[in-house]
Amino acid sequence: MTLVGRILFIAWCSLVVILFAMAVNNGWSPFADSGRGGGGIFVRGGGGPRHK
Amino acid sequence: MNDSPRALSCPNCGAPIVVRAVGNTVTVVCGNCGSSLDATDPDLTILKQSIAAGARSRIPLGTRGFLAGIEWEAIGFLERSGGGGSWQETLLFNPWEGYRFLVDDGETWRLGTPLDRLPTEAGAIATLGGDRFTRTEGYQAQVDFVVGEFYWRVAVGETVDVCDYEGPREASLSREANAAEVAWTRLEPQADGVVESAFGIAPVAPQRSAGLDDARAPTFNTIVAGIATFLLLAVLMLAPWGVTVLDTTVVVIPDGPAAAAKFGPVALDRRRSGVAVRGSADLENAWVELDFALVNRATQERYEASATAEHYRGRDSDGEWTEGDRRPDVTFAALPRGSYDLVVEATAHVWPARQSWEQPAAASEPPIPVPVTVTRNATFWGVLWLALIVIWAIPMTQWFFWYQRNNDE
Amino acid sequence: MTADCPSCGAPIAFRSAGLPIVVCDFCRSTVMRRGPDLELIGVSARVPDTITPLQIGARGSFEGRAFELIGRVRWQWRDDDGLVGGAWSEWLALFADGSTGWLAEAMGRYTMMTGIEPLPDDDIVRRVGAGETIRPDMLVELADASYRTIDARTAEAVGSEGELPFAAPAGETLFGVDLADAGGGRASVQKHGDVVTAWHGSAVTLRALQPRGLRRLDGWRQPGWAA
Repeated sequence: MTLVGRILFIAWCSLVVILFAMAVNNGWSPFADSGRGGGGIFVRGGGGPRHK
Repeated sequence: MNDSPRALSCPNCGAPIVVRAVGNTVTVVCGNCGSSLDATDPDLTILKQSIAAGARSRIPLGTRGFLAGIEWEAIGFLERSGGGGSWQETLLFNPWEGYRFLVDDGETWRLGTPLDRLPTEAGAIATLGGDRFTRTEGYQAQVDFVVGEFYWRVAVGETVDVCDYEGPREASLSREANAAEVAWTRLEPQADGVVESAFGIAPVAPQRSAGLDDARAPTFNTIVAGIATFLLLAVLMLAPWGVTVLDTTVVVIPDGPAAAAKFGPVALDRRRSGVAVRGSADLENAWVELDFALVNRATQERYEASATAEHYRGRDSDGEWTEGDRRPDVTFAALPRGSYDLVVEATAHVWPARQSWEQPAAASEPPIPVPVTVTRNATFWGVLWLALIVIWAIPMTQWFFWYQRNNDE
Repeated sequence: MTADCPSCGAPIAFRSAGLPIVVCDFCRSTVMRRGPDLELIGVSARVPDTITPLQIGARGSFEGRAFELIGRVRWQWRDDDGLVGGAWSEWLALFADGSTGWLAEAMGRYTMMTGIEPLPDDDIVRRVGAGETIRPDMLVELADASYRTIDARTAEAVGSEGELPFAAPAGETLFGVDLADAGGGRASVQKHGDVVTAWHGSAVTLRALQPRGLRRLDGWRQPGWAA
């Protein structure tokens, strides 16, 4: 593993940890059934408010 | 007596010839013209003139290096092939220790020690010093190129019958036989970079360029991924824990009109919160369709999701079966701060017991109570799994290639 | 015990009591001891240069028995084309009890062997005596032990020095069969003239002999154990 490869992997892991912390703090999930900000990316339905 | 290297010149081309293992060496192959010379003859009689040039040794002849505390000098180089592959062998010499072979198959260096004791053979198993070695298919190996000095009459084109025996810790035995002799060698793999640094040569660039499959075990990345995993779990521990903020029940009449109810308030006190709503129903061969909506009292913003609590049981040619989820939950991501109402609409259907699927429902099935809970700051495990997968995918892939490569050898 | 060389008058040292032959270090004369008399029986060829840490006077220990190297015969063998196929040295080791053994040095590998009495029905002894062809990797019995043949060759002496049990003028021939067992044990059956002798011992590393008084080698760092 080159030095560059190692640094890239550390950077990648740091990014994932930061994004995870933000997601947990905001109650965000790409798997959510509804809600704000990308909820429901991977499941049925779609995100965002709906006005009846 | 004189034991310094004997400096001579090639009778064919005049290039300098050095004999280092004086007294042992019987063949010298001129590095310039490739002629084989008789080192036992003071005049260096030409045994065979010029042979085709081959690859150069990665370790220049005459180079010295320490392996396991013993100083070795590279004095001969062979290219050999057989059994569908080719490899290079460098002959090492030390006056107190004798000879060793450094075998280079392009991926790993192995240090070969000529055995002075014979392994015990029983069937396909050879035992040596408590280690068991398993015989693999034999093949013929021939010399394709040679340069330097050797303690035997080496010649391009000469063949021997080789049989390799695979042992523990990637060690192996090699049995080479010709009409006159049987020679056993024990081969031990050398850790990456050991031979290169011992003899001061450049390591070979990895053959596959993908970068994922480095020859070294991806220990570093595994450690980094482990630290990242620890941090993810720490984040989860430090985040606000889930709290059930509403616990109520909706009663729904099977095949009756949709039951609609509004509960509240559900107070979300953080700037953004994740919310999980779970409806459960203790039912059999029935479904309850639940439409949930969280409506912000101040802005009337409405977030909708639906779930079906259902459970079926039956019997077919494979025996008993069940399917369905009696306790489905729905998740709402990143809802803004505010006071919300939970609006529930529910419909249900029940198939009476012991009736065929086509039969309509019997007159009156009892109403079904459906407890509903709302959890604030719900933990979304899917996000954790996603993070773990994107972190571990890289070291796991590297381990896969590393394992595969090590199994190839 | 010392004497003067009957040829050149140089002093000759005898380290052993019983060995009949000594080669004068200065004039290469082969001198035979007959009681108190020294008889000149020929001239020995000089041993050619070889890179070896051994020398006459070096000491060591084999299976707990101290020895000193007192003589050497250099042998070589020829292949079918008459070319020299290889050469090795046999160093005569004099043990503290007055017995002797041979420390063979070939291609940086060492074997120490002492004489044994073969059994009357040891087939290999009869076959060597009869001059039969011996192939490698044959199973043979010698003095109640099993071995495999590793090679069988006729060797010729190229030079000798020091004290020896026999004179080895250049060209003197010897037929020998080398045997090995699975435990590192070695044996040999040799025909020298009409006499067949049997030997056994084991493959050894130089380090295991705890050698002292080794020769220093130009351009090589002497290992710590080879003081």
